[in-house]
Amino acid sequence: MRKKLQIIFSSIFLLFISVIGVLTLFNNEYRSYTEGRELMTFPKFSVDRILDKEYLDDLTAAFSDQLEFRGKFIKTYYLFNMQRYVGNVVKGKDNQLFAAPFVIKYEYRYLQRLERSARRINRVAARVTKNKKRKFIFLSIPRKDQVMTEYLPSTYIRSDDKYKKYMKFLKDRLSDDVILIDAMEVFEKHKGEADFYYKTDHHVNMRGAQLLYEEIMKIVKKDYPNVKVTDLDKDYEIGKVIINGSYNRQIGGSVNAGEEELLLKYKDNTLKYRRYDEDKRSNIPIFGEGNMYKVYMGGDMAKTLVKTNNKNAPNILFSGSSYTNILEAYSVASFKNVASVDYKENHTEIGLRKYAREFDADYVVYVPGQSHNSFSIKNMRKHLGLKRRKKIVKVDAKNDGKR
Amino acid sequence: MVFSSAIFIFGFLPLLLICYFLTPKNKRNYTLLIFSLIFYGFGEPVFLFVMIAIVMIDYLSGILIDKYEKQKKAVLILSLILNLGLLFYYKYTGFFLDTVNTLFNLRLPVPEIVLPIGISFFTFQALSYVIDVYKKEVKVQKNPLYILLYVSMFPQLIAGPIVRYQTVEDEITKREYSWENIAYGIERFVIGFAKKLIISNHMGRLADIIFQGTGLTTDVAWIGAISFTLQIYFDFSGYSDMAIGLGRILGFHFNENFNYPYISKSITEFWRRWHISLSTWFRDYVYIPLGGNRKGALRHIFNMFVVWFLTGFWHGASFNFILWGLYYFVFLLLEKYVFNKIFKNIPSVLKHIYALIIIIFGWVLFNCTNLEQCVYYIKTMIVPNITKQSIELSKIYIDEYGIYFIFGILFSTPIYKIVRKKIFDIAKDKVLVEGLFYAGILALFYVTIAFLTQATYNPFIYFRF
Repeated sequence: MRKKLQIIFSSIFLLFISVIGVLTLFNNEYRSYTEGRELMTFPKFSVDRILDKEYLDDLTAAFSDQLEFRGKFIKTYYLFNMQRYVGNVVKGKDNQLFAAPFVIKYEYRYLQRLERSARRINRVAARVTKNKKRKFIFLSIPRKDQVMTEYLPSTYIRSDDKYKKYMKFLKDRLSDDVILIDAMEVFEKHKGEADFYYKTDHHVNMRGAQLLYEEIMKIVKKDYPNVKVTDLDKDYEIGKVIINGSYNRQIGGSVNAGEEELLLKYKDNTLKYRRYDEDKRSNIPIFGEGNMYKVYMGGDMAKTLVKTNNKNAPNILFSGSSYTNILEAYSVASFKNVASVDYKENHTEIGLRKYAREFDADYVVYVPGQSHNSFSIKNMRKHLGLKRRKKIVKVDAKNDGKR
Repeated sequence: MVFSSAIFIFGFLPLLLICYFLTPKNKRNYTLLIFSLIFYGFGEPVFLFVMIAIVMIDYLSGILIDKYEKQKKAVLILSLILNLGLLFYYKYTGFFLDTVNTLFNLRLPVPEIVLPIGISFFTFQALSYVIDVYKKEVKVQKNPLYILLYVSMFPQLIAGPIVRYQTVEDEITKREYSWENIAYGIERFVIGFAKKLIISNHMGRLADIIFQGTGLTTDVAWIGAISFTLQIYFDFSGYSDMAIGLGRILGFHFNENFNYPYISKSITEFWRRWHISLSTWFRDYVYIPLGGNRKGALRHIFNMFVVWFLTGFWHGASFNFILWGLYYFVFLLLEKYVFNKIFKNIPSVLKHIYALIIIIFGWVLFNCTNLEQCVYYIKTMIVPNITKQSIELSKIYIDEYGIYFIFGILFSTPIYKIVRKKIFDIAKDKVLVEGLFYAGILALFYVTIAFLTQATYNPFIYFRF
């Protein structure tokens, strides 16, 4: 009987590895939707490449990527992995996903960086608002875990107090040219009304964005009392579509959060607009048609302009990354021209002041990307359109510059 | 090719096993040889020739030693020079020239020589054959393909264990196959595979973050040191388990390479349990020929110094490895001549703590890339420096990797072996228990494959030696 067991055990093992091995050879997938990445396909075989290390490395990588039942194995991995932060993502209550906690190694260094950030913001705000009644709005969005603390796992190290502390530090250093909207304060004021972030993603959701849009419009309304401020529930037809946020994609889609994205369509048919992506006419719609978060305003575009028929309305320019997408979409109904510059995609060295002039912006809204470090200098330099300092090489006149 | 890759598990291994067991028994060595050469050639095809060259040197040396009794010492010396010369060329040229340049303020060009994978292992294996022929401990092998098979046999080729020729001498020509061996081999392979993928890789990820980071604090430094301690054990012993398991499936019985080293109560005991094949190699081929402890205390100290210097140097062409070897030399010496009497009156727990602390500090020396880092890291571990932020960071590390620490610590002890034995002893229906046990192994294999698909971190530490 023992021998029979050994035969069965050994045969199952051998059969398992053989069958998967053979089936793998017939796979040729280009993309993994579970992992959200391109897959390595099998390299073409030729006799002369058999001793080529590159070919063998490609073959090894392709075998791993094309592995039969790879999707199932990945799901099993997330089921069994006991690591708290899988791919830097941690699961909280009610299937809410969060990034690993925000920890600063040296606070004094961080404060030094914040100090520099404040100086940079002031500098750009001064440039942008110079000689014109243009307003510079700095919209700071905290991390999801800093707002939705009630969903955090019990052992999670909270950083909402840190955010407030550092925001105060930053606020104290901002000049009068900067109008600050702190999303934390906005969300706290409306706490309990709804969730303001996606369950499986780091972005604010439609509800959260609506509140931020309203805050911007409060500032605009002081100068343009007749400006139209839209309401998500009244002015839009709302459809729904299931989304799979970035956090969930990082963990192989293992959380079935059943999250629905609101699919907006502006009800007022009198609104007409023309859209230009990177100075070229674009037919990408702003509302409806499966417009998941990233698709608003065509996703993360280097430079976009939407000209509307809101003749007496002011112009607005957004500078930021994906966080501005939904704000831009909301703004189309309220402004004459809505422009956006995403310095993550925009690799020109044109500063924000020039863009503000080009678009004749009355309002410039700066939204730093919400990353692990919300106020990273690298982010700020990009989003504020600051040029990188070039190294100055001293030329030795005697040697004609030769070293 | 590495064992913990999809192409090995689902491509190479089933193909080999099918071909191997379909081949008539008397021809299976050739099948195994062909597959072993493919296995080695997969990493860097060019180095196949280096390995074959070393094997040919040792095959001819064996023949000549056997044939010319009077000149056999000269042949052995020549063989040693050629073998170690090749090893020196590939592994130590850069280090040697760098050192000469630094010491004498020279600017000799330092060539970038790529190290053939596993050269330290297969050179030592091949050498053991020649030395054993010289000492008449094994018979000379007339068939060069068998010597090539002995050295290139893929389970132990790249990262050991260092299999002595006498261990497999008989099995090369005649071995027995049984389902019991195959089942045991699969079980052993799966356990090694899980050790590597589930415990070692996670510990390695954490160790890398901490060792490569800046601004270390005492608490974080200790977490990093302990995670590397667990990583290296589960990495290397996992590989050895896989090698021993594969060997058993193919009909070979390799010696154990690890025996729960972290339960040791002294450094002497630790080295009896850690990388057994290497320490016995140095014992039999260096320490004993130098006279061991039979020629007085001073000579004994010198012999130990040589062995531990070489042990460190064998691991890598870098001063931290030499330092690591000499670090153990000091503690072994102290245990032999100083601690010997004190240890008798110390409770086991304290001895165990002492051994673990020395081992952990040893791994810090081993893992640091340069002397400066070693000093900085060890200083941080010793001189208390804990901040509020570092406590937060430590909590995150423990929160994130805590379960793998628990697994690591638990399976560093013989708990699995003991529980398994206990269950089999008390079970009334032994067959049922064995069936459940095999089902568990298959489930573990499935889960480990799942970890493999997500393993972006998958290096075997001992591959670089």
